Amino acid sequence: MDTLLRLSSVTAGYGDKAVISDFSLTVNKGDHILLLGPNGSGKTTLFRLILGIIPPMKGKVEYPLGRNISYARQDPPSSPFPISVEEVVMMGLWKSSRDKESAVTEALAMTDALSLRKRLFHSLSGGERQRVSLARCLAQDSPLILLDEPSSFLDRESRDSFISLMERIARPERAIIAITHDSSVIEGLGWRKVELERRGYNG
Amino acid sequence: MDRVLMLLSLKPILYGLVGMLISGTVFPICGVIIVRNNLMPMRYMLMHGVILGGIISVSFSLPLLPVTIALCVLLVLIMVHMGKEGSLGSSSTAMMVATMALASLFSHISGVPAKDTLEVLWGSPFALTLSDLFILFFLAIATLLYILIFFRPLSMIFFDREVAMSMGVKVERHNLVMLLLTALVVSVAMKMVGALLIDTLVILPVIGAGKRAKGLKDLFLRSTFTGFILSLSGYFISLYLNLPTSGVLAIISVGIYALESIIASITNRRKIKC
Repeated sequence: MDTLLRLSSVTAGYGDKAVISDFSLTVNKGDHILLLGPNGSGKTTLFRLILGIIPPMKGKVEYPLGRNISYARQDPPSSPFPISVEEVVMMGLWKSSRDKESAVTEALAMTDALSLRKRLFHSLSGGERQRVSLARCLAQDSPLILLDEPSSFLDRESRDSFISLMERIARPERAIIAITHDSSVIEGLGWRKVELERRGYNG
Repeated sequence: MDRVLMLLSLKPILYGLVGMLISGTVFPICGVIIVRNNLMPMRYMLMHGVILGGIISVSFSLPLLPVTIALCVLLVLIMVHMGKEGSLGSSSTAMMVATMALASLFSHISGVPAKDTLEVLWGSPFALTLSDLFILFFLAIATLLYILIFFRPLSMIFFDREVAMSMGVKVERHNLVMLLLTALVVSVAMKMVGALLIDTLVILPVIGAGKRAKGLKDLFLRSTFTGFILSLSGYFISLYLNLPTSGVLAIISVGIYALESIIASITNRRKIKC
């Protein structure tokens, strides 16, 4: 199995305060994981650790095939600064040699956001911003995708289409870790569940 | 008009025109960085740094521009070092106060009359020397190259720093480069339009252009185009009417901003109706 990420007994947090303690996880290609846990259990901190934004206090974070991760945050920026949807998705193609135009079209079509292409990112609704952020992740075409509460802005009616979107992008050559609190998403997706507890792991 | 053409045959007037066109076109690029990264407090620190630089250059009979550039770069480096344990906003405020205090003390100790340093507050493109123009030219080239080469990673930083970091962008390194670039641009802009009207050339073209920009690339293009038109028209109108360039530029800049705001609000109203 191709291992993309290995966390070995990591402790992480901010300053000298540990939010996650002695946590271990291995993610292989084709793993699709729902990361569950109450507020304050360190789910977002775990993402920041995996992304290299914060270092581990203890333990090891390894990327056996190299660090190539795409990440969509829970609340994509909404400050009124003119960046277009197309430019946001194109960010995912920074280091890619793919044809930019077709890659952007493909990623936006995949997330049902093609009609938003020429809009300004800050003018979108929360749900639209999340779809565009997901499109950026798909354009990046990295083997590991981290999604922080990707359904938090969706209404009840959009849940089903979101679940089918997640099923479409959950390909065998790609691993996805998604944080969610949404019970309909948890039930709708038959993904492996990893649960974080306050200062502990129960996965 | 004949008088304007005659004036253009004079070296200081010609140097001023070249300087205004270069800075009008390129400085708004740095304005985008200032606006997006919310570097307004740092801008105040740099403005006070230029006043201190003015006093030092008068005291020791040194050329103003190299002294202010060196001082502003030093201030940014100290600010970044102090900001590591807090925020850049706090450290730039502390540095701004320290710089003003030093300016006051230095002026008193060295016996430089305050009125001699007031020129720094108003600036003048006619005071540009050939060496100033060379500095300005290289600064413009460096700014353009930086934006062109690193457009994609910079757009990621402007969009979301955390996302940029996750994609391997060296955010801290780019931050330092952007801060230093801002220090250089503010120092040079001071000589052109003065401390009080620096926003005329650097900030207003950007926030005016931002009203109708369709994306980041469009914002850069509109800002530089606005800056170019502003500096060209402002310079010639000031020559024609024999008025201070900085004041004329400021009035036109505010006018362009107001016009952009009106057009943007009309456009938005139409969109809502549709």
